[in-house]
Amino acid sequence: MSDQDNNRSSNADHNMSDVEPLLKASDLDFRYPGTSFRLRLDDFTLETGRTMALIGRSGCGKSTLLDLTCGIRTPQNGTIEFEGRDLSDMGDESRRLLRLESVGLVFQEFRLLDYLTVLDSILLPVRLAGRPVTSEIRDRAHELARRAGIQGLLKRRPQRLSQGERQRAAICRALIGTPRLVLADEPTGNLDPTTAESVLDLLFEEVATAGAALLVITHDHEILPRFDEVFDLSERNLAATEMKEGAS
Amino acid sequence: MTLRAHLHAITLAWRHLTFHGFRSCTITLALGISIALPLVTGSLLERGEVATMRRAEATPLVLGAPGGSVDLVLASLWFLPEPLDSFPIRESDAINQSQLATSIPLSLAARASGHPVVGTDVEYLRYRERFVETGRSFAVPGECVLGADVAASTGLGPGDVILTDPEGLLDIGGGYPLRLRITGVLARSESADDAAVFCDLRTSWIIAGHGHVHIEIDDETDPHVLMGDNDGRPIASAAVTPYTELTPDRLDSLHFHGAPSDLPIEAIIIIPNDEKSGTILSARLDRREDLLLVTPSSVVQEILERVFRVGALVGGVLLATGAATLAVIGLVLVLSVRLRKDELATLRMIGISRGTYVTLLLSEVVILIVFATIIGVIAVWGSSFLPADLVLRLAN
Repeated sequence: MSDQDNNRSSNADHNMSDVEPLLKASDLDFRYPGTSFRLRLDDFTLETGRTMALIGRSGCGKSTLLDLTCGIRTPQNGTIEFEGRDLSDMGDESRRLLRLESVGLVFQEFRLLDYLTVLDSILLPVRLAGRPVTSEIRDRAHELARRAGIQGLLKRRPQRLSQGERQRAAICRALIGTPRLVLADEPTGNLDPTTAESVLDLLFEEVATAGAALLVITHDHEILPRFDEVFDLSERNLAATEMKEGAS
Repeated sequence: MTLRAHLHAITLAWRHLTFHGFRSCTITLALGISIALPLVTGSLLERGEVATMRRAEATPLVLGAPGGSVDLVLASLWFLPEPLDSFPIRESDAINQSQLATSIPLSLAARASGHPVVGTDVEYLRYRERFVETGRSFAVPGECVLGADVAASTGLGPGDVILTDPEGLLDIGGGYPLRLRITGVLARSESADDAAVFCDLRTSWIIAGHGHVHIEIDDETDPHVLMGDNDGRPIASAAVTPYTELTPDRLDSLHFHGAPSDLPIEAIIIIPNDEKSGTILSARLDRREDLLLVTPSSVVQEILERVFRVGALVGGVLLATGAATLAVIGLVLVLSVRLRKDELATLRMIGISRGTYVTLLLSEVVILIVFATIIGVIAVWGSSFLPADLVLRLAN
């Protein structure tokens, strides 16, 4: 059995346990209108406090699955449950609130707003949620920045930060709302190996401290051993498998 | 909670605008100018119309030499440098003697430091209800009072002197400029009187070379003023002052050439005693081919119609320009939103609500419009400091 098989087995073992899954997708079917792309999954589960790497060939639907798990997109068929609540049954507004309050997002290109300082970037989800920026939240932002090693850069704008510092700021932004799920789309894709290592360390540490689940898209197979589980979407996307079988 | 999110969106919009300060300032300025130009033009036209008509209606009749009635009115009411022929002062005396009206003669040919010098008598100031705010009115030849704008622009006041402009710089045989002693400054009246220098008619005649004083050259006290002697006629050196000043000791030698009743004036303001007197006087003067009698309000009405026809055209052009500017700004904003699609996608993914998102975009536009409006209001406010008859002056 390969390492990946071992990890998938590990995922299956957990599915059989009594732990309530944070994310659970069943009989998922998603298509982009007007394209031949199709994502079909019979089963996908991520439990609270677990870390999972999402791997697969480019274009196999990793980012789409990430969008589906946080309600940015909704499937045509099947269900995605977040803590037992079916995202498809929720309205746009409820999904948006769920994303703001329970999900932290980290992007490959950092996606920091160029006109906001690091501190304002970290506080952005709080402000978008319409919550008051209390002294406790401010303290938390400072504490996150301190742990990320960017406490001295809080007044800087992204243009004056290194790539690694930007991603650290983005991770702090994802964690400010104490999310139960952190989704990261190739968070180290634009970083050199040393910086990538330290950013991953930060991500794992903070997710562990927050007790959140972590789902990371990555192409870097070197880092897979760090995850509790590895989910290979190329193998698990039924639509891709069917197409391959049809072709052969 | 929702309200706070909207407030945060406005803060975000403000941060975005200040971060892209140059772009924001350029759009605000362009928008501000688009708003300000029609407003300022409209305001100036309106104020100009009111002020112009007020002055015209306050001047019942004006008499001048034959020529253009518009030129006569512009020169006698607003002291604009129109080419007017002169006529003798005896016409003014004749009107006064008719006991049908009061006549106020005006001599309008001279200028001092670029400002019109109006030779008249103190009756003019009484009729226009102009008061000397500091100092006193002119009393003898060589004295003058300044309009408020002249005093402000030259920094001169009672006790100072102002030199009249030479008639022809290349005329080496021409008379010297006259050094006028300033005895007072008129209270501001928001009229053409603010921009003029007022003096006695005799002073105007001296400036025009119709009268003069003799200046004693004393080579004992100032040996440099005499260069030599030419068959008993002294030759003055360049040390002789290149201007004339009517000092009290020189006034004794003041004399005019020709009969006093023939001395020239350019206009007479006629204030009939009553309507009937005005009609009789008008009938008499209208018959005169050597004189031109005009009713300023009729002439000004005609001028205003022309000015405001042009004004309406300018207003239309400005509105069209404004609309084009707005269209360009709209395009810039749309392109800006497209350029920011990554940023807006990030906000959407993080969880910005549709309403907050709309607030974010709209508040940027609203902030730009608010600042542009402030620029427009400031421009309109600033234009209120411009002379009310500016349009008339520019139109001329």
